[in-house]
Amino acid sequence: MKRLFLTLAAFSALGALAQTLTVYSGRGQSLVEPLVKGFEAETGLRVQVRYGTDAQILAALQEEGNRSPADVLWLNTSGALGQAAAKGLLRPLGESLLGKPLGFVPGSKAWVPVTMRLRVLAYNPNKVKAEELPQSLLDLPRFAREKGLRVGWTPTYSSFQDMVAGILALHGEAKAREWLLAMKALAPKAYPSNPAMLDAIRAGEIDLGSTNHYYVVRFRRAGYNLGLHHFKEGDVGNLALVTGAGILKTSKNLAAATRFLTYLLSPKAQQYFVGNIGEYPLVKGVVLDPNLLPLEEALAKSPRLDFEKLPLEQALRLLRELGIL
Amino acid sequence: MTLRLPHLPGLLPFLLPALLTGGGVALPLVYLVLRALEADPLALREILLRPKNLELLWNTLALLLGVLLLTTLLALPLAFLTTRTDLKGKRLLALLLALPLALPGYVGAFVLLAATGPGGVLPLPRLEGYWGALLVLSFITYPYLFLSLRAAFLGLDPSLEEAARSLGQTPLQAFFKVTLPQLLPALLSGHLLVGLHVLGEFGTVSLLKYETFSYAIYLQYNAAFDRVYAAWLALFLLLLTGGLLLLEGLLLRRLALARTGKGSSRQAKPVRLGPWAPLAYLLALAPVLLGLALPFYALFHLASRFPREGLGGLYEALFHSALAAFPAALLAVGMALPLAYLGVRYPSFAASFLERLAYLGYAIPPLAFALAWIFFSLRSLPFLYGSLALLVLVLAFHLLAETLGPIRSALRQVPRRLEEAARTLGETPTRAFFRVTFPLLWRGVAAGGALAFMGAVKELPITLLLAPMGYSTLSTRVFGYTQEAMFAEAAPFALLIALLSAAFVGVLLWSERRF
Amino acid sequence: MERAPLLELQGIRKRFGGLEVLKGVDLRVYPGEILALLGPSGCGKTTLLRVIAGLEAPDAGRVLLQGQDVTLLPPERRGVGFVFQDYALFPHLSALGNVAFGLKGKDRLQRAQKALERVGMTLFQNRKPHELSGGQQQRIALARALAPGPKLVLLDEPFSSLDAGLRAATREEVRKVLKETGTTALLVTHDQEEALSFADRLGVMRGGELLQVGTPEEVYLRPRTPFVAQFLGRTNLLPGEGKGGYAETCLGPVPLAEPAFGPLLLSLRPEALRLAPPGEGPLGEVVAREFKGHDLTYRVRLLGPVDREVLVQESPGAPYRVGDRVGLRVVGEGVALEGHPSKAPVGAD
Repeated sequence: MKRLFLTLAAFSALGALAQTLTVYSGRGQSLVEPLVKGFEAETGLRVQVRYGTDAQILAALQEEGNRSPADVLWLNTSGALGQAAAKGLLRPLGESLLGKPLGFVPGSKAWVPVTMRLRVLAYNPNKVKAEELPQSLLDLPRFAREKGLRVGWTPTYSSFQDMVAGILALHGEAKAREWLLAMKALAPKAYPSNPAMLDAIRAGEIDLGSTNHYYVVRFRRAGYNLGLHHFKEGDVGNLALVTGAGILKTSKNLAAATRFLTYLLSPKAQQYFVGNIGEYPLVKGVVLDPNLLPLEEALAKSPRLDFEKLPLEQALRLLRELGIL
Repeated sequence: MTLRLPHLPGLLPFLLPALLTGGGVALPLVYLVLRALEADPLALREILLRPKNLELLWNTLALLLGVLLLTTLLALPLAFLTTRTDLKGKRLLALLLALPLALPGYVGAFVLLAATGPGGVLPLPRLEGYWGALLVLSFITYPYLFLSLRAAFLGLDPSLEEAARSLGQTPLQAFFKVTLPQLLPALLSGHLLVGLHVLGEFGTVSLLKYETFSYAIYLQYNAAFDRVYAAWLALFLLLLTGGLLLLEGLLLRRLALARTGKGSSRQAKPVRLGPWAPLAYLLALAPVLLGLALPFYALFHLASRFPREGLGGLYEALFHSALAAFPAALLAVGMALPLAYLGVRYPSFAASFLERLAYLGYAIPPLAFALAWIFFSLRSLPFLYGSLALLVLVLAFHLLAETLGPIRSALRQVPRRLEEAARTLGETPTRAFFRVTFPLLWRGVAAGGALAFMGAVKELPITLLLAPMGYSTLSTRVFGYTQEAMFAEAAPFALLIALLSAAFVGVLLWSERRF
Repeated sequence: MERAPLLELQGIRKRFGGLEVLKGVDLRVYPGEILALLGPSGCGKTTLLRVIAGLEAPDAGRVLLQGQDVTLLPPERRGVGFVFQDYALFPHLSALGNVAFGLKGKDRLQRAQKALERVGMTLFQNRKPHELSGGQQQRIALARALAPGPKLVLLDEPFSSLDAGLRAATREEVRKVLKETGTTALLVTHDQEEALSFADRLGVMRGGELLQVGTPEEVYLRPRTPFVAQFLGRTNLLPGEGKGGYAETCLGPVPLAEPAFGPLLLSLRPEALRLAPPGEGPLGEVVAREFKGHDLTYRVRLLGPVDREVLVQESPGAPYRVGDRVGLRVVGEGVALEGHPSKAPVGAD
């Protein structure tokens, strides 16, 4: 057994000899892999990726400490990226990179936004007319109560929690508490994931629910008739959720890491995000899907916030306190 | 035999690996304590002293008891039917019945959910809350008990039952008075695995909206990026697990079950089912349907709703899974043997402590287990970090407990006198073990190894964080697709996990043939 | 016997929890002899065997094999064969595989076959243990223990699970094999007939102590304690007064095997008494009659100042019936036992 071990160890050590870029990704392999291949083909660099959830990746990085082999951190949520920045894991980025995206550059300047998702309201168009829908997320409980509509939600899902944090940041704790209690009074059906909730809307189990736009896009692309509603400009119900990437302090491949981030913000890569998973790009010159809003319009929908400073912990505490989590 | 100084040199080949193993499993415990100590006392109080914890505790215990009961009601008759009766095709049936093991819980529960309720492909009410969690967890975990009991049934000495019959007991009385007590070690070790699963399971309970301790831990890591408070909750969970282990140990201590008669036993005469056979099939059908056919049908149905984009990397993932899981299972068995041997043959505080430690290792949330090994390996064995060797090692440590139960119950059925006979014929304890005990144990070894193999193939957080970079296995691919809600693409990988595990269950059942 | 002992036990003590199972046992076994340890179950005889084999470590005392201290040696390095009560045959190996288990070298199978031949089991060499009868398993177990040519073989109640008819024959065969191979053997049994007929010498154990060791004749004819006297066949225990070559008892003067003086307890075997017509010797009444074919045992109550029953062995043709009055004649010698007569057990049997 010992011999097997040594052989295996030697085997893997050989692989590390070639100079490679190491990416820690909270985004799924199915999404990342084609992009990595494109980058390798374009630059001739070798990239290796460690996958996990944002939380797993973040925890692993902290355990690795300054021995971490990682160069690039690429995560799903601005909350996790903000944590990485706050914990001092990331290296400040240069202006040339930070100048590329059309918006959402964080105050820490430790990471760049790569794509954007919008919170939207998904609904069953057979049950609800588009023009009746409320202009603000905060009016959703009253609307649903008056119309006798069945509501779903995904309290364990990070984007939902981000949205609650957004309510806290924009409207204060009293308002957030009031909204959550009003929602709770509707006895909403809780779903473990967004596809599960959308499937329930499709199947007629519930009538509407707040979700991320690309889930609706994906259902529509698969030929299902789901309604997609944006609230009025600047409403917290349209909160933008930003994915992003940064360079780790431990990185020994600064140049390659910078090239990778630059690649992610190139029109070619950005087009891939739109086509493949229906997310919004953050650079100009990308052809959008008919299911998506024009880019300028989409950017204007979300309230302006420092996404790194969303009071996520406060949101979680509130959700726990109200017995929702 | 008590452990004495003069025995020590001969037992070193057992003691040394046992101690190393115990150390490896204990490491994550140290880690959890380290992390827990970082907590901010005020925030800690908020987390630990909230009334919700009582609710979580109650929920966890209620689920635990329910699942133990339901799995026993399923596994005991099924194990009996597939070993001791003349049921036709019982081998195939056993294979099918063990297969739900092959389905990763996170996939199984998800598709079952998606498929039921209004609009689902299955005409069933949506499974939710306590009853949903109870049902799904029972159908996911009963194979552990089923396999453990099967091995025990096959190792039973039928003459005991015959003796009871000759003393005027009906077959049913003989079963309850004589056979059942003999099955207790297997039952207990099976229960232990099921129990640990229930305590540690978070995927299913979170999907089914039933809140337990493990669910709270999961939320803490995943939603709040908080390692410190999660460590506290994990320690809570370990306390619960410790209680379970203590209970099992106490119950087990009162059993001394090596065969006492002649040195060999015969195969039992199969019970004729006659007109009862259709009923037996019906009973076996339910778990096959609910635990196997249904999730797979639902998986494919769900998959067919979304367009599919290629099957890239299927073979590579299969190869990678096998390359990690096979040595991990071997290593786990290798580590379990000395532990079980010392625990059964030289029962002492130290030996049972080491054995219990292995179970604790199983109960530590896999993510915490992985983080602990990142922490320690980078500081002490940096050359191993990111190597397949480390992944294999950590998987083996984590899955050790799965192999321990079957090996331990098999060991209890090998009379110690056989080893003593070998000793008087000139063999050292180690050689006596390999020449006499091991050949009689191999059914337990095969069962344990197969369980560990399947566990390793399904395992996710450890594989994700400790595998070499770019090393994608079947389970990481399933994760990678479901993470982006691409079920169609995930389906073939999930299916392959099931097929690979099925092959192993097949080997396992084939190996049950008598010498 | 002035030869060097093959096995010597010195003050062996063993305690299991609160129970002292062996209370300081000394024993010597000489090369080539068969020694039987006889005692009721629970007397510690099996534990003693396990200590000799190295399967248990004694709390105190020494085990010497051929003069070498092996107390701390593990069983595999002692060269001592063991035949277990339940035979402990390896169920996954054939008869031949079992016998060859302890053998090394290229010719191990041939040697195993030879060992099987010796016990007459050549025909069964490919059978698995569960395909063999009890007697056959017994022979395989013996062949397995003897095959490596041990200095000493230990047998733990080896005949106890055989039926009566088979037992005597197997015993004879085993004894023959042991003698042919010149193997020293230590046998443990609770069956006095087995011990007497099988062993060259025997030792009687009780409560963790070895009470007496000697040839069957010595132990039978010169028991040292009431327990030994009673355990090896029936006897009459009579209090008396030693007067040198004889003792005064309720049966009148009884000649002593060895001279003794003062109050004593006497063992008088039933065959040392004969019945006679009333008037000769002390008077008694027949209360029971046990006909055993080759002999006949009477139970006689003395009709005198002392109320006591004695056993008398007669030839099968003796004419007395229950209720008959008879006289008692002493025809053999009594043995004065150790210990004070007042502590002696009451009753004759």
